[in-house]
Amino acid sequence: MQRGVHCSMVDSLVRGSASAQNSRKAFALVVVIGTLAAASVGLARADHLEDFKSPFDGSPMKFELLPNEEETPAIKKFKETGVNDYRDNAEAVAEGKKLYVRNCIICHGADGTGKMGPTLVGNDVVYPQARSDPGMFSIIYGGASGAMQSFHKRGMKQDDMLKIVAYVRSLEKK
Amino acid sequence: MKRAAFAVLAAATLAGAPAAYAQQIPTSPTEVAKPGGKVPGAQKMALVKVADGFHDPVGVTAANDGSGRIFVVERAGRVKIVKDGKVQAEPFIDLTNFNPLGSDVQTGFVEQGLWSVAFHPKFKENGYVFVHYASLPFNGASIIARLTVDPKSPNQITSEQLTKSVKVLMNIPQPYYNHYGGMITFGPDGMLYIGKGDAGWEGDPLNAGQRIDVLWGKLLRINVDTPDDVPYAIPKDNPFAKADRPQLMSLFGISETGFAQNKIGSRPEIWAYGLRNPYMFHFDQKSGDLFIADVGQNHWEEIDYQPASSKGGENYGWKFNQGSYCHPTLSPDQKCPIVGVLPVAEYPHDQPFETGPKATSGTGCSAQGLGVANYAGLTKTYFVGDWCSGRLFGVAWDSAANKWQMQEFMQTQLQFTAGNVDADGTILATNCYCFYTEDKGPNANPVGALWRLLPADKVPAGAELAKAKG
Repeated sequence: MQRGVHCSMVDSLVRGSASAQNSRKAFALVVVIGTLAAASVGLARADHLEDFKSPFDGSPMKFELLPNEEETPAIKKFKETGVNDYRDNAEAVAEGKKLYVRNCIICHGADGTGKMGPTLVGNDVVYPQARSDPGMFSIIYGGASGAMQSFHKRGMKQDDMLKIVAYVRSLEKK
Repeated sequence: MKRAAFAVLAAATLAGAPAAYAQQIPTSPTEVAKPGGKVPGAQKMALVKVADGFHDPVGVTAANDGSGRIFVVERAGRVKIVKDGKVQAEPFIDLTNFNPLGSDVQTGFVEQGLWSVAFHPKFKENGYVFVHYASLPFNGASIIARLTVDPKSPNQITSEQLTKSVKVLMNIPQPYYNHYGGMITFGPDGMLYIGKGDAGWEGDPLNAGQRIDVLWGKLLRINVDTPDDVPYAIPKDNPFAKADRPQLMSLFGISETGFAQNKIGSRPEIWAYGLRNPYMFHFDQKSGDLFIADVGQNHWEEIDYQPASSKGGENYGWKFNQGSYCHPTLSPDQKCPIVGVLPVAEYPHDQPFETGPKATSGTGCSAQGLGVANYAGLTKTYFVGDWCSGRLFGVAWDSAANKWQMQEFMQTQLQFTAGNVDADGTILATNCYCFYTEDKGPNANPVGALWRLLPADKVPAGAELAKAKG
């Protein structure tokens, strides 16, 4: 969770820099914050576009929309940058909780530490890519193995998947 | 009775003369195989797609009548024929439309539906087919019924023929909507074996596994070769066949062993007990030995084994034990008695014990037996697919190492539901997209497929393979 916040800050700082000097300052900040972030718990990186991949064989993901599904601005930005704006959106996180309770809780437990299925929080995730938002999103979209089947195939919208990821990140121990 | 066998076994062990039988059934939890072993003769295997487009396929069998047909069970209540990789459009059996009031099959919960179809050993002559399903009119009760194929319509039992020919053998009430068991199949002895779950909830609140006065939590064995007005008969050599016979009471001059054999109130249909949810079980067509994949609760899946010489009466320990561990399964160092016969193999869920570290490999949540392989360099190797993790395990006795081995052959993306051995001895498996959550119903979930397990170097050119790791 914390790393996601850091990266969002970095992102806005870089985009907000007007002069070359400011850019250099921003770059320095990126380095400092990035280093701090790397030294922290190490979860939930908010970029990592390389994690838009199948957890099964590493093949790149192709995200298709359902009939009548529209690509929301949040999803569009997420696919381009790997940044999940819903992490800082209380309403979206609350929506993510509702979706989590309906679709995920039976296997992964109320606190995300796993029951019939594996943990979604902490470092001991089954698929390392689940530590980043693009990686976890890809697993929800395309499935992994056995009962963790594609939620796209089951009719879930991508925007809802992104909200679920935001809620799961909120379960990380502060 | 296995208890008697154990006495003999103990005597043999003491005498220093290990019998073949003694070598094969674990007598201590340390002898129960776990993933990480190596099955003798194992080579790289692959799952080749045979056919696709089945709605919640949860069972499969071959008629073994020389026709080359494979029969895939759809949970809604249909049986589809696959011939040469093509799926016949009209169902072979359809339990969803013969009753003018609607389907005869209860499918409200994902564990409910039509589970299994079995062909009489003399099917080619008598046309008898048996089904096991959750009945809607009987509030979810297990119905075991016989249908007869009209020789003029070998690929379809029409609704008229179904209504005309149906003979109900058993109607087993079900108090809860889970743990039905499901598979029915004929043994090499010509008897019909029925996997019956502990009737549900969790923790076996009815103590069904250990009670021998109920049919739940058992492997049942019945003789179906009876006149049409007699549903079935009890095989005379069932372990409790005569235990409940009317008798005069004798209190004196009887040994305690004699008293212990008094099983008044027992159900004579029982073959083995102490089971939780034996959804799939398979006989080795070569040796007649039996494997049972008993679905576990929160922590361990177990594979039980009976040699063909078994006289029945095995107690597989549920709910005293889960796998080779205690129930409730709290921690690895927990102490409790092992009740009855140990499994030959077991594998953990992600959380193997209520407390303690998570398992990092070889995990799953629901063991679906697929069949016994005697090909591809393998001998009497029981394949098990997991419903949650998509892992495919093989279990076999390793005579060189003098122990059971359990090997993960691959991890697939498939949600395994069932399997069986085809007429040519190869293993068939089905997968669904049906789970507790997001169950859109047996006709609306994404469709599943039928697969054949082949050695990787024998995969036909152009075949579609299940994606697999390992």
